[in-house]
Amino acid sequence: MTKMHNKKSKFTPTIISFVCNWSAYNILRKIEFRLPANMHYVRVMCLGRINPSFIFKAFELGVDGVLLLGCPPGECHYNFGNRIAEEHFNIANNVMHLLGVEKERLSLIQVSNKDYLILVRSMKKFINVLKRVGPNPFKIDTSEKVWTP
Amino acid sequence: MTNIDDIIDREGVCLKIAEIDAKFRIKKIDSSPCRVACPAGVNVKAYLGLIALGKFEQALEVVKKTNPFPGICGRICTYPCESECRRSEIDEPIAIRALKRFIADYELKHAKGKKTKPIKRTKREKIAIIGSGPAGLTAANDLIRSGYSVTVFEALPVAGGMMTVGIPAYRLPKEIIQIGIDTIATLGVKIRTNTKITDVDSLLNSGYDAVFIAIGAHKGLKLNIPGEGDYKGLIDCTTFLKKVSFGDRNKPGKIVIVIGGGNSAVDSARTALRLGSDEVHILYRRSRREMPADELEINDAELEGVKIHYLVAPVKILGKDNKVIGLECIKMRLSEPDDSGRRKPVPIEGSEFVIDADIVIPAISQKPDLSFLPRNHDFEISKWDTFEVDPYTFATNKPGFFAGGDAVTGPKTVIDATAAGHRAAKSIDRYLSGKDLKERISEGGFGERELELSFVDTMIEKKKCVQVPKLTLQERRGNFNEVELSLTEEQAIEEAKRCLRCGPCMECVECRPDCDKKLIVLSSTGLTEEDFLIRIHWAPEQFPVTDNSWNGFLCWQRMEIPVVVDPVVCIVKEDFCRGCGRCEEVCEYSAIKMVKGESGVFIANVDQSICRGCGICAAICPSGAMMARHFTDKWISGVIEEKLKQ
Repeated sequence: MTKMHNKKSKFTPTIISFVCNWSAYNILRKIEFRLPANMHYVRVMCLGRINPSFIFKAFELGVDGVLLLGCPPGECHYNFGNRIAEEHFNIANNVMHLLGVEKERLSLIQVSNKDYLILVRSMKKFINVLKRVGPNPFKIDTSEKVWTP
Repeated sequence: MTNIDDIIDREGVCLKIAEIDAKFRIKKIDSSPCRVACPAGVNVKAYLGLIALGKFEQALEVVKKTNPFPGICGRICTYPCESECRRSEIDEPIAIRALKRFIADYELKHAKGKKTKPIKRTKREKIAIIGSGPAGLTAANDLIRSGYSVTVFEALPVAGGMMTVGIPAYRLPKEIIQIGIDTIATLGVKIRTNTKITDVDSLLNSGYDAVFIAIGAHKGLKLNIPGEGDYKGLIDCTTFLKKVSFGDRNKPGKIVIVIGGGNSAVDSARTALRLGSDEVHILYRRSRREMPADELEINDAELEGVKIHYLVAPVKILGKDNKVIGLECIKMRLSEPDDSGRRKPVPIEGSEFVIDADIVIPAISQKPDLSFLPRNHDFEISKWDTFEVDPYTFATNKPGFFAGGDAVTGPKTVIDATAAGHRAAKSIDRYLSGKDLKERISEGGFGERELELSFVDTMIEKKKCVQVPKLTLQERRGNFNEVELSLTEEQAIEEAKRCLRCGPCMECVECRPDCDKKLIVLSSTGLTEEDFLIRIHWAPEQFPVTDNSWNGFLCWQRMEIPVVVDPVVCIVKEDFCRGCGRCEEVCEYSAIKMVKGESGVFIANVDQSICRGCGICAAICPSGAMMARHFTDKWISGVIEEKLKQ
């Protein structure tokens, strides 16, 4: 369904990343929110807050990838948030499989408060993957509709 | 400590949305009382705010949008804005007039190389304006800016109308008027002084497409008492003031009696005193409370030595050898209030007495001088000699002829005439561009909702109004130097800071150029907060910026109010909750309990002291009843959409 883009094209994928307030957001604050081009963040208190509808909402609006940045097991501020986040991630993955969306477009990265390098590396990796996968074919014309989750 | 919701209602300005998103929310509740009170709708709050910030030039720009004569109104306006000012409920109203005068003076001092340029004529039509008073000049100013060719005809040798010949120089120096007129003349308005129009109809035939009659009211009313007109020494107040303003500095007489209680009566009395008269009396038939003249003017007149006799009416002018020697008067008393609430003066029988006088100046009222009209004109004229016009469009019964200002309303104030000039200019523009005149001219959409003092205002430190510096009595004697002086910069800023800023936003539109990142969003009245936030997030393009309907706003820190941001906890919309219990299952803090609601159905209840606001229950909830405060579904999806638009 998708066209494979060659590596030389200047495609920079649009990415929405949902950021946990307690770990990844702290790292973003340290790097002064200097994110890669076309990468946007949405801060939430806990990644468990993000249910699959928000992920699909982002895809609908035409993002090329969604990045979930949460805490590793045992470091959640709320003790159980990462577990819920993983559940949501799995549900979203399954639905994406049914819909025929490449599973590479959605990624969950668990970083602790100090793992600044890990975050940057995995972001780069994610962007490279998306460059290979190509633009999102599922963009809907949203000029008229009003969508509520 | 203050709850954030309370501030949003009154203040609503410049609060970061609960530290979550770096967008400023600006809310406009209604127009401030001062703006509603001003006949010309000058945006008072905006220029006060700009003065408080020290941006004097921008403040003047705001005034000039609706009032081309800031220097003149800053001196002689009757300040309806100050009497409506809500600060008077706390201590004293803001000295708005003094502040306006300050910025006008500031421009005079500091204007360097900033000159107005002539406006390019873009329209074919020519407009004639009869009379160069405030109404005529305002209309000329508006019309030339719309691209018409405008000619102003003035019968007197100087322009300015009643402002020049009716207001003495100690209140309004002639230079200030000349500056206002020059500014308008440099725009390209042709002002022809010494040109009395004798045939109005021929103007339309000689190439003018519309005529605006703003002749003012220059003819003093007669006293209608015996002896009037028999003796020398009776001079009407407009004639008297006109003579003085043309440079006649002769002493009018030893004892001068002015009849009337308006501003022109007080002006005449103070003028006579400056010309060297020994005694000046004012007779007024009601008591001081009913006196229409400005309170401060009356105070000043009494201070300078004018004797004011209340509840006295003239009966007869006494004369000898063809000269006035005195005035027979009668004492009055006030009747009980009639149906309209006014107390009529009633003469007291047998209380007649005589005052000696050399000169009697009646200053009871004025009416338009219609002698320029031909005998067989077909204008509709009221019984007070004023023009009958459509109250909205100012069109007379003859097409192409408009009338406004004192010529329609009878003697009123400069700011009223300015307002009339604006309306007439709009209406003439409509007439010449072939639009329907009857269609109501937009008033600018001012609301009239009562703004009440809130608790925030009661926290304000009480502070008296600034005292406008004045000349001492010795300095005033025998000259026409201006009595009131300008405020200093520090005084002006201090005074402007007293403004309560009714209806949070200042509407100064200063933020528009500053805000490239669209941090400041424009709103109008009538939006609920949630509605407003959604619209920011989802449809910024639906907020078109035009001068009339949407205003950009600048806001500045009002006071250091400690603000409590609501804690991030989950809340339940009880109407939506179906009692499935999934949130109870998922919450590991046991903050959520199922309790029996009013209808007997179990619904979720969040213990806010235990809840830590992760929002996972909101993600789980199938009916959308659970919400994490500040992180609602609407908020998150709004943020996603908005970030993608960047």
